[in-house]
Amino acid sequence: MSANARTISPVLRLGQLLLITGGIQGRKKLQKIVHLLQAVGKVPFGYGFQFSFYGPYSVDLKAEMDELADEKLVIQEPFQTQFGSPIYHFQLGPAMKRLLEDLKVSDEEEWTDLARQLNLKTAIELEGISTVVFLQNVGWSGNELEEQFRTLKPKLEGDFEKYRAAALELNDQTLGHGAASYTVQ
Amino acid sequence: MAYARPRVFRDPVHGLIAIAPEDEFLVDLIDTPEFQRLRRIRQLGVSGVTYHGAEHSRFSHSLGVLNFAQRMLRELEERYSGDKRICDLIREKAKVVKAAALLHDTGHGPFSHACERAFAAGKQHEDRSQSVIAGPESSVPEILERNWINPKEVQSIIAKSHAVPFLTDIVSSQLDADRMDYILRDAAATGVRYGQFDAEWVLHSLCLGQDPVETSEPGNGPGRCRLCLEKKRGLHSAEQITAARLHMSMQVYFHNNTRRWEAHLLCLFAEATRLAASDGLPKGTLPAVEEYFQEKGNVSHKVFLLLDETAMLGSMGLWSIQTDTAFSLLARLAENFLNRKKTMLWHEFSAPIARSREAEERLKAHLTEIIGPEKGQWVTDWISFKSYKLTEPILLSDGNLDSKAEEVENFSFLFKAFGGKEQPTIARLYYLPEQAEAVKPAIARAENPS
Repeated sequence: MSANARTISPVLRLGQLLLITGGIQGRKKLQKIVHLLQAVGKVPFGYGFQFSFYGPYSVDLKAEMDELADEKLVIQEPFQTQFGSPIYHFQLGPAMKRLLEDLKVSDEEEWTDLARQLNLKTAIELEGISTVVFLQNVGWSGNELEEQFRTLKPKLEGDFEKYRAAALELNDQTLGHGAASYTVQ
Repeated sequence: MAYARPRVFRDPVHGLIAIAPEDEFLVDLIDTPEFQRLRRIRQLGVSGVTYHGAEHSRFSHSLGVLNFAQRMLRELEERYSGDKRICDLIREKAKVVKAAALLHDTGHGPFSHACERAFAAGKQHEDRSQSVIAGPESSVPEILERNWINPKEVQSIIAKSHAVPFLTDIVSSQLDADRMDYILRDAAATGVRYGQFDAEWVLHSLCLGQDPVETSEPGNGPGRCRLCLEKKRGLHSAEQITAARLHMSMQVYFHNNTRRWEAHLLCLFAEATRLAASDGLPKGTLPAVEEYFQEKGNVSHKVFLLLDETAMLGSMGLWSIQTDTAFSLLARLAENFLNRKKTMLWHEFSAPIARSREAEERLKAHLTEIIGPEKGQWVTDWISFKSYKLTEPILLSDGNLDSKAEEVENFSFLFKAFGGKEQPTIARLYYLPEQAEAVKPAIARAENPS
């Protein structure tokens, strides 16, 4: 029996995400992709997200990635950007690749396309979309949603409509998916 | 002239908790079925089997959080009494913060955090709390709205997305009213005196400062301030509260015996879930309990209100007397749980296995292969504890609203250690005795992977 059909723990699920995407550039991007896959795609990563300065953020996901990097299951490679602070490139380490192979975790999931599609977006775009989805899940809608977005993300407010449309599109795309489609641990 | 007296609640931690006449809506919230249910949810889940005093409820804890939140707001209002902007902001939003503090735990399931480990739906009690606060079936939003409080704004405090960060910090941060109450209350109830810290001094040292992460923009104003401790006097109380949490975690929250009983409960829940999905639970099981297991924790608000420890323990009583062999495992686990008859065997792994997520994953896969899915007859418990999360720092400030706050770890070698990589690790495997023979070689393989 493949692990995909059995149960997949959050650790293996993160490995699977890196396998599917071929790697993710930047902590912010990783956080937002996991948030959107969990919130919209109903992929059971199992992390709690709260709002932080850069949008939805999970302290537990950060801690988990740090642990995986310490154990070299995930390679967390910094590279310098023109803005000064380094960005981390997350990739599967050889040990995680072996683990996924041994436990028969494949890259074929209902959310494979969604994950790849999200990984093509920039960190800023993901921050905007992820913030809209987060606020919608807290219950904000219409003008109130827009007002909240502008207050929390003054630097992104010019593109609010673009992010709202992208969030709507994501919701439409994933309508057929339900939590029951996935094996939940 | 009529004199309105505050409502007071006697409390073992705070002495008296007073609700001012102008905050009568809090009494209305306390009187809702959603809040009264918390009387039947114990704060520390199954810890009572280890520490017999740990019978206190989420109800008393929530009142305690309200009290600390009220006092924090008052301290800040007094400290900044000369600043109209801050005082107006606090007065305008005080009811929102108090409601959030009072209601933050209304989403907890029976046995508190133990229940969150059973099903993915129970994972985040905060999500359920948010639907209690603003959901259409709940009686809470109507009370909030009647008192000119937007339920979504209360939700935003819990989700940390409120536009005024220091208001969120009061309810949810590493220096929040929640943590201050649970450490003191749990320590008092269990008799574990490590959980002591100088709460009065923490309150006395509270102040505000600008977020160190937020890019410096002069004129951010008080609305973007974060909750801080005064640099000159707050450092040691911050160290004390963090050390208290570390010691409480090691002595109480992750105590081997408690976690063993949690594992027992998880196996019992797994068996109940299996039966609910196949032949059904024994006749007479409460419908709310039956639905909880059928729906793997994903129940409606109406059912959620009926789901408490009384319902669960009552069902366990019924299960424990079943004689039909189809229910033999359910009956044994229920009876042993009620009578505290130790059932689960355990093995503790040491480093480097205890620090290895790979080892955990391989062990889980192996046990699934030879015995069946986790939580059926075995449970792993790899705990990576962080006494202090560098990503959510406690902040120190000089109290000036325009000053940039600084992370406490920059001033304290203790915090450098609390936030460092060297942290206590716990890695255990719990299993039913009938699986001992199967488990032994799996443990040996995990410990000698080559």
